[in-house]
Amino acid sequence: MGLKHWFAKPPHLKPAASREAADVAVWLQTNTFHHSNFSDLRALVAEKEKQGLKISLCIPTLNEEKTIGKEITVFKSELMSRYPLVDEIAVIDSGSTDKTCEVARTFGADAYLAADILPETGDRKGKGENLWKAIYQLKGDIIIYVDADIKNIHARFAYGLLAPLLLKPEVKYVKAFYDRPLMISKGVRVSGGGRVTEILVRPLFSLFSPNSLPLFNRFPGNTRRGARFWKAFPSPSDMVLRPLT
Amino acid sequence: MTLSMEAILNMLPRIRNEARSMQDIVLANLVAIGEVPAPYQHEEGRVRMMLERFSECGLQSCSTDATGNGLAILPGSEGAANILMFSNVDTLADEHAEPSLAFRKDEIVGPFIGDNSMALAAMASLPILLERLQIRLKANIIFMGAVRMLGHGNLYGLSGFLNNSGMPIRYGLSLEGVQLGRLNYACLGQLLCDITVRLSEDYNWVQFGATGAIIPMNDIINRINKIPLPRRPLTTIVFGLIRGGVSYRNIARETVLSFEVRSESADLLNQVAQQIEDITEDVAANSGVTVKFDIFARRAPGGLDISHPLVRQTRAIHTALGISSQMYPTTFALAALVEKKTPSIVLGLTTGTRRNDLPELEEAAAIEPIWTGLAQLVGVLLTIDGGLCDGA
Repeated sequence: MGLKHWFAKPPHLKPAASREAADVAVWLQTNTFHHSNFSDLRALVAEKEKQGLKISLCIPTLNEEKTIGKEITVFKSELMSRYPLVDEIAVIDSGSTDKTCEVARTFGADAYLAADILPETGDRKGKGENLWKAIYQLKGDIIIYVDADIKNIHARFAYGLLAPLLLKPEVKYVKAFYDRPLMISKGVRVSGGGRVTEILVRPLFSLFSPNSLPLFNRFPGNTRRGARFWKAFPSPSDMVLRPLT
Repeated sequence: MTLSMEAILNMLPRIRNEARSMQDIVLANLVAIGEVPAPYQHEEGRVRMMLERFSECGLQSCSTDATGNGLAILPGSEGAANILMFSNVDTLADEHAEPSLAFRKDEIVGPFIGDNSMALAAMASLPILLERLQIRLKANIIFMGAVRMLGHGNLYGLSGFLNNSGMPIRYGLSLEGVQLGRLNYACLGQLLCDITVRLSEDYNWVQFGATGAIIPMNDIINRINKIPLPRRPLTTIVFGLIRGGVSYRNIARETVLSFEVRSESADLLNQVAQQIEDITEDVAANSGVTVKFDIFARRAPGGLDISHPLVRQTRAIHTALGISSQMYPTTFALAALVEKKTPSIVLGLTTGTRRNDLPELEEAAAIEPIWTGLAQLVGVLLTIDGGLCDGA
């Protein structure tokens, strides 16, 4: 598959109600991609090598020993051993009390405690802390962040995020969205997961910036290009994603 | 590639180390294949995944045959002979079950790893291991994920391939996820049977004390259990599955018993079958129910002699790798190859356990022994390819 075809089919969106909303819709149409457009990993590797980039994959963790081994194995096999797309897989851990770091190292990832990175800046618990400290710890020009608790893990979670950064130089940040099935007592509801988004973010944006609402879909993995660029941005360390009880 | 037995045995530690260095590839294959549901007669998704993996390895003729098996060929330098390496793709899973594997530090836990996702993952990884070891065999290896093998499938995929492919098979290697060390070189004779007890249409439902279909089935089981079975030739009956009824207070209209009769003697199989038929007819006559006795698979005993070079060389490989060979007759996949008089063995890949702390269908498979299991496979392939297993 040639690279020029990767952006050929933007997603279909509903007609917009206002000028501002129309702008958002146009932007979304030209800046929204599906992972299946980027499944030619050989072509992605060639593009990465052409640009001389290093790519890191970061998994922020807190007590994820049950899922981290499988996730690292799948990413390492598909994105390092089979196709050398990723140069580094690292866990940034919030201080797990289980064997998360040990299991991560067993399956071939580097594992760092967030508290050990830039210790002079303090030690705050949470995913946000892990994300911004990763920028200073990891070696990649591009950092892919993926959650550690994905049950149906697949390499597409990473290369779907990475590909737009590789192929569109003007892109500095890629945000994933997807349907998050919600496990309920009687089975699976096809959507309904992503509680931070659904309970907090979406209602807030409905109130204050309804036209921007389509931009805020879910809060899973994301990718950032250029450590220097992102070091200039503040990161909210106190954001902690945990189940509501 | 022709090597002496001594040279092959000396290579085994290096092969095991190389296999260990492929941990992520092998285990990712296990996830990719083992997490695709493959209930009996719905194996297409798992076959597709296997073919994708084989295709990525550059194997030839990656396709399904008319039976639905997934096939791929690693061509040999001479290609004069074919070695068939296969495992069953189908599982005993419910149609809607979505298998999920969990990784622990030293083991993988999930449904059907031992039967037979681990074996399929090993096959999908083997071409890469051979390439890394720079081993090119003279013979072709035909990799096959065989469909509809279990239960009523009755080795449908394997039989279909052997009967229709037109490809002569010099040796057969049947892979099982567990247990590492098994070396099955012969198969017992086998009858796969169902007995169905059904209430007749004029059954008196309102009569106090009406017992339905369960009590006659209980009678049948008790009487089968009393059939005297000799230890030599070894003969056993395995009661595998029973089902019937709908609830506590409803009289069961139908019960089904599924079981297997195994014997080293074909004559004894016939005798036992006759005795069971007599029992079912007697119960039907005395209890007013309909009893159907169905033998849906009948296989004769056979296989290799323990002194066959394939068995001997495999034992030598086991010894060199520190594996204790477990040799016993099996009843499964070898049967179809035995009928074709193809020298074949069954090998296991790793150690596995079923534990009370795991759900019924889940099992735990150890990671470290996998590398020994893969080294064993490469060793056996090299001995076959070098002609060291010929001349029995």
